[in-house]
Amino acid sequence: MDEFRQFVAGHAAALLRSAYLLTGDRQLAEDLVQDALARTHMAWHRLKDVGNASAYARKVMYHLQVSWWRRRRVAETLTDTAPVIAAPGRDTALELSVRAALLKLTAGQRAVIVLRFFEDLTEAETAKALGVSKSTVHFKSEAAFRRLARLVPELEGERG
Amino acid sequence: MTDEFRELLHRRADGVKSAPLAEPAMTAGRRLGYVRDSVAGVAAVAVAAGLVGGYLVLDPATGGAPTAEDGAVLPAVPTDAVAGEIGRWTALPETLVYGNNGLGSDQAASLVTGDTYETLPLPYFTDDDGGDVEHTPWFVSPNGMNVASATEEGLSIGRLDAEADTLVHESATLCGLINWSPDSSRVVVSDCAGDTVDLILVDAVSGAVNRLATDLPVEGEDSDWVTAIWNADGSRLIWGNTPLGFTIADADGSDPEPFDAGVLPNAAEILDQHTIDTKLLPGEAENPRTRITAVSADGNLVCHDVTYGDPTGYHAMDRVSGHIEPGCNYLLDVSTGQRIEFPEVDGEGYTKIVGLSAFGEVITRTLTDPADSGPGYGTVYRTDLWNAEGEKIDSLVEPQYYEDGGKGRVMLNVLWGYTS
Repeated sequence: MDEFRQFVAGHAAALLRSAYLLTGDRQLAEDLVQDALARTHMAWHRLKDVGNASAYARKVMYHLQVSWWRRRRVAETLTDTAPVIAAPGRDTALELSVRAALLKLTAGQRAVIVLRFFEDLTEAETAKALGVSKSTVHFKSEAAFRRLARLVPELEGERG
Repeated sequence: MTDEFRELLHRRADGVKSAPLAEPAMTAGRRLGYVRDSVAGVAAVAVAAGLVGGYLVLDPATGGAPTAEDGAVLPAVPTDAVAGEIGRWTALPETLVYGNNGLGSDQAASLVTGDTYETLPLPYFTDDDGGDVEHTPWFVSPNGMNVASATEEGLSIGRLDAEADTLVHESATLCGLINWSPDSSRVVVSDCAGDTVDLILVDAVSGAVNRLATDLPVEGEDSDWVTAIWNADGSRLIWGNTPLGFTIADADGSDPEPFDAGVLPNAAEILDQHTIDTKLLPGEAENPRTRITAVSADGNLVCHDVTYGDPTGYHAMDRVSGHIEPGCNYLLDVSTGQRIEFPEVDGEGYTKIVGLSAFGEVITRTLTDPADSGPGYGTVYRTDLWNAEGEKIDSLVEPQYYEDGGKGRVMLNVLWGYTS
């Protein structure tokens, strides 16, 4: 299982950052990544290479996050504990607003936003990762931005 | 989206440091793996026993089903489920299968044959402490021999009396109800991963899975219970919901066309006034919606389980009681627009149609006056079998409960299936 340990060492940080955006909470993010990695470990023997394992872990993580089983477990616990540290050149107020707005999206909308604009996947790649159609991704993305724009008016006009 | 928003997201995630995750993940993975190994063993036994083959296998390559390379689904793994046969119903079955109601667990079935009772713990996973997993919706096949369940990992199928079952479709977003084909060889369930419902069609014996996309919304104004069932001889697949209508297609979902499910009744046609007055809000009596539970072989008879009120959205599995009983309260001949009635039982008590055979026989289940039979609790059911001409050809007053050793009284309210 050294290969698995190496895989985790190389990919856990990136998964955790995405999970943090998905959940808005460090502990929940760690739980989510651990769940995804546990399933990856379970399927390790049929994942042909690390590239497959990475895609598998990420896909499982996103599926877990939007699943009702998980939502039920973590419902009402989306409380962020990470401080936003003021720094030169950073609009702290805007960051706080975006943070709060992200947590007001549905789990599915948040997954699309994170995949599209944090992981920089295309609509097609996002659709494949989530196991949905491209039109579904497009629809969720549109809905998410409408909601974000209402919650954070400063973002209005940011879409391109 | 400008780069600024992307940068905001990256700032948001920066500084999140990775905790040691490999060892906890491996520990959790081994636990899951133990379950999987058990499942594989059962599958191997099934193959050795020659139980696989001879049934419809849907081709993932042509049906757009996810492949193993997609990661989150498994390759087809044979189960140990046993398909039945489709034939005339000439008598009620000797053995009835119930969902337990009395042992403090959803996850055991009761097989009742005359005065003989048997409790079967279902083949679900237990956690490290030996406890049951949280609520798991499960559905017994019409032949009473197999069980399909929506576990946390996805859809599992196996023999009702087995110690483990097989994960045939890995998904954390299953929703709605699981329905078996009349010959117990296939299973259909919905997946609500996207904004629209996908139907997951599974060959219960070979484990082959196909995914069928629909335009039925998971949420939204048109959302409602989604029906997905095979007709009484298993030759056609019907799906849809009340606001958007229904579709009928070949058994594998090909060649779809609109399906006329008939006009739903106002509440006064099927509910007594007291129920209307006490259970429905103003205006709800004129707002019927349906979950279709059976369609005859020729498509003319449609069994509607009609409810009233505003749509509540497509129910995810966790909102589905493990004790939703198959059956409908309104059997409609859509070719004539006439309701099929059972004068001998209509008015006697609450009656549901729980079975519709390929040859027109009907099984009803009536909640009768408890004075009719049996001591104790006021839930006495009588099951009746009717031929295609509407004549009663068999009848059974069901037992109310049985005593299961020191565990207490097991109520038999929920009839899941019946052995051939």
